[in-house]
This record gives sequence, structure tokens and C-alpha cells, in this order.
Amino acid sequence: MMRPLDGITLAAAKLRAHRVRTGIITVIVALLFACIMFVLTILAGATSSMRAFGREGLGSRYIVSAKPIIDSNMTSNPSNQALMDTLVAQTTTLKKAKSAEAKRLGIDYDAANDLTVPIQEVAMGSGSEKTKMVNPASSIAQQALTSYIATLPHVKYSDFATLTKTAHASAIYKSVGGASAVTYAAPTSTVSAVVDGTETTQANNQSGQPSGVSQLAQNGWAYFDNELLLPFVLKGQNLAVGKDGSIPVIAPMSAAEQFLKLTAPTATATPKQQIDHLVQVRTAIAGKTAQLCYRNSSSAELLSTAKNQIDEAARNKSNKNYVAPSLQYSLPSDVCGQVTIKKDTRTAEEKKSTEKQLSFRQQFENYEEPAQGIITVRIVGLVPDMTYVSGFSVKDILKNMLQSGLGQGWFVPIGAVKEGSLAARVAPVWSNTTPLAQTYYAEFSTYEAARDFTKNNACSVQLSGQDWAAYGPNQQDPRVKKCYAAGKYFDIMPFGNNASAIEDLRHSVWNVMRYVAPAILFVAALVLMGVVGKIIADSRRETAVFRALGATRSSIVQIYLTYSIYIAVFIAVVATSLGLIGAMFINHKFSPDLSVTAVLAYNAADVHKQFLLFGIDPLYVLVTLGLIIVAALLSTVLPLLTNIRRNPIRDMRDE
Amino acid sequence: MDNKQVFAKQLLDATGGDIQGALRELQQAAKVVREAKRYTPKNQEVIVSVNGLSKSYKMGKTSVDALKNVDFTVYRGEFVAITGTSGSGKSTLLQLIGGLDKPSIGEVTVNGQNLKRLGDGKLSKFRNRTIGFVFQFFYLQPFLRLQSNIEVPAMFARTTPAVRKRKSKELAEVVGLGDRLRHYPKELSGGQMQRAAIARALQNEPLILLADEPTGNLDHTNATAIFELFKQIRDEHGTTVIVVTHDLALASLADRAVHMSDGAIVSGNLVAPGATRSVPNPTSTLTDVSAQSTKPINVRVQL
Repeated sequence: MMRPLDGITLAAAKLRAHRVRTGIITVIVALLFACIMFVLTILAGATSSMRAFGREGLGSRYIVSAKPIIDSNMTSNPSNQALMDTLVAQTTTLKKAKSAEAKRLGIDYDAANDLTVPIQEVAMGSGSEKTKMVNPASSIAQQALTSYIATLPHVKYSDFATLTKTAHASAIYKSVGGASAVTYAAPTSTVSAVVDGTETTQANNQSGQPSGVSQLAQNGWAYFDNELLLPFVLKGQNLAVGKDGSIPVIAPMSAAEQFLKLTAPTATATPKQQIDHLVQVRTAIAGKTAQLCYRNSSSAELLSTAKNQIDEAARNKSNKNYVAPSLQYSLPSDVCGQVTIKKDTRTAEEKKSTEKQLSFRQQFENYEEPAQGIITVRIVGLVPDMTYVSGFSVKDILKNMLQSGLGQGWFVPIGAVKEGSLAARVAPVWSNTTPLAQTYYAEFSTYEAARDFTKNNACSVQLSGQDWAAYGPNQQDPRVKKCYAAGKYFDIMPFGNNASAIEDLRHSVWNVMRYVAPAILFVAALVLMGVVGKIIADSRRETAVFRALGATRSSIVQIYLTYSIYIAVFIAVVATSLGLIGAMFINHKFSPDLSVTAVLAYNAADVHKQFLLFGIDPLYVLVTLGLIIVAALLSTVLPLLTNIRRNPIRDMRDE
Repeated sequence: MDNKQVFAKQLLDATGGDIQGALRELQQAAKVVREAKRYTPKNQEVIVSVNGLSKSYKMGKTSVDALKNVDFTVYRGEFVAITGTSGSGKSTLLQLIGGLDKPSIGEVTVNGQNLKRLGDGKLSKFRNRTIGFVFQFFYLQPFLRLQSNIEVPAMFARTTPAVRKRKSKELAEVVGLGDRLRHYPKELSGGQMQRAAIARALQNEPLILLADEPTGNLDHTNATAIFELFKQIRDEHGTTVIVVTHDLALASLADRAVHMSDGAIVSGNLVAPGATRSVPNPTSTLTDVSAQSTKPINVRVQL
């Protein structure tokens, strides 16, 4: 072997001998590797930024949520025949009782079309045969189903606790209610925001999804363990019930905007405008108490009737033939007050009939007297409105990925709402809920542990057409059947952030690169080999001369390997430069918008945090450089092996 | 055709059918032979001993005999010219002496080393330290300055940069290129390039300088100067010089001219009597054995 510097001297001389040909080919190969470097730099930047933003909210925590697997069709098609038999018997008894009472009161009652009894007979398809189905609006049915679900094995919180113990979860939590909870029937009660002494509701947002207080009216709020809420608490706030009795809530951004009478920035708003808006909302809403007006279904119905009457009277102001209702209501004079009777011109008979109807409903249909009231909440934290963007642009895709939150809606700490209070009516209270409305959570110290837990315990059975074909009335949901048979009782998925999606993205890119990189390596080595092989072949005489001058085979190998390293370095410099410049360009173009998107999505504490599409991951760089060196060496080794085995005289004689 | 006719044809082929030219060549050869008969090397220590050397090459499906049972001896400090027509085997002999190729049959012993017994690594070292090669086409590295070009063999010998730089400067002075060390080969004339190649060959102070048609690309003046340089090197450094040339006039400048034809030495050879093929005897009395060993010499003598 020669001294390394001498090897470099001779290799450099060789490089100069074919500089045009070598230059063109190495630039072509460098472009191939520049593509790899470009993708990896963007990926490194994106994953690094995602991780940085992931430290906001629940981003840095590896939590999975688990919902008990319960027959999704249970309310309409329970497989439990005993339950059905009981409900059918109760329906028959109830109808008989109602008929008798209606007869006694002298009011009309149509047993065949009674929509309040536990079992409804519904015509399925075109046939005249009717199918018996459970009526989820029936309180009797609800109680029966609740009791039945409570008997299901393996789906209780304690069962989940046992499951997570073996997987070494660092903590477990639970929540109840909210948008993710399965409820028997949509609430008919209403919740509205009191702004400037007026009950206001908010229209749906641009995506047509409920926003602001509408989310609360639609789904109620969800009760969460404090540990899950803390990351979303604004600076200087806490999750304790206020001295004034105000309930601490984590509200969606849209609700904060509603209370502050601010309008969300439009899609065309600049990044600065969006950030300024976020700062303004956060500053103004932190710790602010807000009033919600709760009305039960009777109160909401009365209010609606009063509004309709007023509207109708206004429309018929000039209509002399218009006959006003005999019972007229006026809007409440107080904020969230009771609807009062403005004028009652009913006859005695009309009044008696109404009373009989009311008595009948109270007796059989859980009729409640109108009730309403102010609930004072204190907004201590914000969560982004979870939205799904259906676009396919880089920004839209990342927007969907860049989300960290608790889900959609409002969130209240467990224990902040007293059972039986007015606030408890907004959503079911913890102690009264069943596994159907509950969600369990397990926290792990690593992404891998969370992933493995999900993989090992989530039900991911595949259903065939035959499975569904065999699914008839009073049959257990085939998925539930299969999951239970496999010993899987929970639907498990990542919660709170997209850490798994990010990791999956990284793994996917790595998987793609696993095939793309060798392909590029192969092509690059092939292209290089074509040129380097030719150059080495052309250098046979030179090799022969070196051999005549005393070069050993290892010295010849050293010269050419140094030569290929030279080429590799050149490729590496060009590939790295082009790849980085390309990534910098992309970063410059997309980073400002993405930064805002990420700040909003993650509700980042630092609003000036940057989401970069440019990052240098030493591993990626080393892998790329390694590939370049391998390509250069591969392209050299074969021609070189042929070259050094040749008889130098033969090559000199070719003169 | 008998041997005489074959030789006559080869001679005429070599002179392009010029009978007068062929006669002049023959006269020159006869002079060389006569002088060779009178020549006695100063140092009788054998440095190169070739015994029963044959070399065949495969040319497609046929085999060509480049050397046929050659015995050849060179003494330390000799300046020997090997002449012969193209294809006579002179370059092959030189390459086998230089360890660039392996003989088909026979042995080459250089400075007591039987080249047959050397592996590839030792053979490389032998070429690097014992032999200095000079080629017809110089084979200088076009993108290395003259100084670096001269240093190349020292690079393979792992000589320290300081030592080899000093040596290259000295050698450049010896070959008359002391002021051209920073030049690239393309900036030199043919004669200068060959001088540079000689300096390169001398870099590691070899015992033997092997030059294969070193003047083939040079004009007469430069060619003569190169041969004078070889003599100078031999005289000043004691280096044994073996030069292959087809120019008989130049060959006459050497101590001894050995003529080859058809893979055999036909004149100028000296072999120590009693020397075996494996162990040369450097102290024996020398005689020209060419006449006994090959028939063509009879033709030459008669002429």
C-alpha cells in the first residue's frame, strides 16, 4: 500500500484525465441522490417540527383510547332474546294501562302509533310483516338496555385496568359523554350562550359542523380526568371549581370567539392575521366566566312556541282574518327566564282537556315541568376545533395530520359538576353512566409500547360477505361476535395527537425509501459503472506501467478506490447542495402557512413556533452519503477486479 | 526454405526490400560480432542469468513462440544492447528479465533472485527496487508535474516525501531537466520526456535499468544523447543497463550488443563455461557461445 496522500495524488491526476466525461456522469448521478436528499431533508424537517409541536397539548404523550365493543345495533336489534321478551311484555302491559287511563280520562289514545313505548313494530322492506325493534327514546327501554350492558363481560373500566396492567401502562384514565359517546337518543334540551344578556346560538362553521355553543347543545360536555385536561389549560388558569361556583371548562376556539364576539379569520387571512387573532382570543378568554342558558325539553318547546307565535303574529299584522291562538306566550323578560303566558282565552273545556293530556304524559311519558337556568362556566383552556379538510394539497394533508386535542366539543373535569345540579343536565353525570358512554385511556412511556398494546388488544377482525349475510334480526353483530370470540373487547386507537400517524408516516417513508433508495443506488451504480468501468478499462496500460514501476496490486486498488471516493465526494457535495437548496425552497414556500396551521391545530403556547419543512437528520445524511459511497465503490470494484488480474505485459503489448 | 533463406528474407523484410541497406546492416552486425568476440566485461559478477528460457503466447487458437530455449547472461555494470528485428523476441526477453511476465519454460535469476520463486508482492518489490524501466512511449502521467512523475516509483516504495523530492531534483539534474521540474509532460519535447522517464526509472536507485526501444520515438540526435546518458549512468552509478533497440548503430554504443532473431540469440551472447542453468558462475572464463548454440551465426560469419 502507498501512503494515503500519494494515493490521493495519483487518483487526483486520474480524475483530471477524464474530467468532462466523469463530470457529466457524476452530475447525473448526483441529481439522483439529490432527490433522496431532498425528500429526506423535508421529511426530517417535517417530523422534527411535528415532534416539536407534539410537545404541545397531548402531543408528547403516548395515549390510546379504548371504547368497549358493544353491539352497535343493540338499540334496534338486540340479540338478547330475554331482553326482547321482557320489553315486549312491558310494551303490552304499558299499552293496556295507557288505553285504560285514556278511556278513564276521556282522551284519545292510538296504541298502534304510540312512539313512546319500548318496542316499536316497524315494516321492513315492501312486505307487510313487521319487525319488533327497541325504541331508544323510551325510558323503560333505556333502563333495560343500561342494565343489560352492565352485565356484559370484559368491557368495564376494571377490565381495562387489568388489560393495561400486563402491558405496563404508566397510567389509565377515563372519560364519559361528549361527542364520542354513544347515546340512546339525541337530547331535546338546549344550551345557549348568554352574550350581552341575550341567548344566542351559533350557526355551523364553514365545514357545516357545529361550532361554539352549538357543540355543547348537540353533544353535551365530556367529563375527563384532570391529567388529560391539564395540557390544554391556559397560562395562569386551573381546573378547580371557582369560588363563585363557576365550572371550569376547556372550550373549543369557536366558543371562545362566540363569547368574545370575534369572527374567525377567513381562509385568505395572512399567517400574521391568524396568529394575532389567536393571541387576542387567548388573552381575552383566559379565566373569563361565561353564562350558559340551559332549558329542558319542555322549556325549550315553550320558548320555541312563543317565538313562532310572535313571528306568526308579525307576519299577520295586517291580516284582519288572522285568529290568534287562544293561549299566547310571551318571551321571557329575564335572561334565561321562564316563558310566561301573555294571554289565555281558552275555554274551560279546552283547559280541562289540556290538563288531562298533561296528566297522561306525566304518568306515562316522563313529562317534565319546564325548567331552565343559568350555568356559569369559567373558560380555563382552549382546544382547537377538530376539523377535517378534504383537500389534497400539502397544506391540507398536513392540516389533517397536525391536530392535537381531546376530540370535538367541551370538556369538564370529573367532579366539577355535582350530580343532580342543573349543570349535570347538560350531560350524563359520571356515576349514572354505563360502559356505552365511557371511554378509557391508557398512557405509555413510548410510542412502541402504545403501538404494541393497540396491536395486541384492538379488535381488527375482517368480516366477509357471508358474515353479513348471516346477520339477521335478533342476531349478534357479526363484528362483535368475532371480536368477542377472539377475546378482544375494545376498539383501541391513538388519542390526543397524531404521534402514531407521524411515526407511521416516517415508517412509511422509510419503507418506500427501502425500495426507492436501492433502486436509485442500483441505477446510480450502473451509470457510474459504465463510466468508471470504461475509465478503468482505458487505464489498463497506465496500470501496467505502474505495475512495471513497482506498484503492488493493493497500491493499484488503493489508487482506484481513492478515485472512486473522489467521485463519491463530488457526488455527495452536489447531491447535498441541490437537495438542501430544493428543500429550502419548499420550506420557504410552505413554512409560514404551515406554522400558523400547526400553532392553531396544536394550540401551541408559543405562537411564533415554526413548522419547518427543512431539517438535517444526521441519520438521513449518513444514510445518503453511505449510499453514495456504496454506489461509487460498487461501480469501481468490478472493473478494478478485472483490471488488476490482467497481465501488465499484455496491456503494454496492446500498444 | 532453409535457415539461410529464412534469415535473408527476414533481413530484407526488415530493410523494406532494400538490398544495399540489408548489406549495410549485415556489415554492422558483423562488426558487432567481431567486437563482441573481443569484449570482456570489467566486472565478472553475473547479475542476470537466463537459462533455457522459452515463452509462448496464445494468439487465438495458435501458439506463438516468442522465445526459444534462450540462455543469456549479463554482468554487473554492463551496458548491453539487445537488437533484432520486430518480433525477434528482444522485448519479451527484457520483460521476463524485469519480472513483468512469467516464462513458459526456463528460469531467470536476477541478482541472485530466481524470479520464478517470487510471489506477486515480492515481484512488485523486485520491480520497484531492483529494476528501473524505461519505455518507448515514456508513459509519464500527463497531469503530474515532472517532479511528481519522477517520484512515482518512490511513492510505491513508501519513501518519505522529503527524501524522494531531494532525489528527484538530483536525478532531474543528472538527466538535464533541473529547470523543468514544475513543468507538465506536454510542455516537454520527446527527448526531454524520455530523459524524465529515465530519471523516474532511477528514482529508487535500481541495480538494473531496462529500456525497451527508448529511442523509438526520438530523432537520431536525441537517440544518441539518450544512449550517451545510459553510458553516463552506468559509469557514474554502476547501474547495469540493458537496452532493447532495433538500431544497430546505437547498439554499437553499448558495451555489448546481443542480436536476436526468431526468438533466439544469434550473436553477442556470453555464457560462462561450466555455469549451470540454475547457478551462474560469475568467475568463469567467457566465450561467445552464440555460434555453437545457433545455426544462423554461421551465415553471419561467412558474410
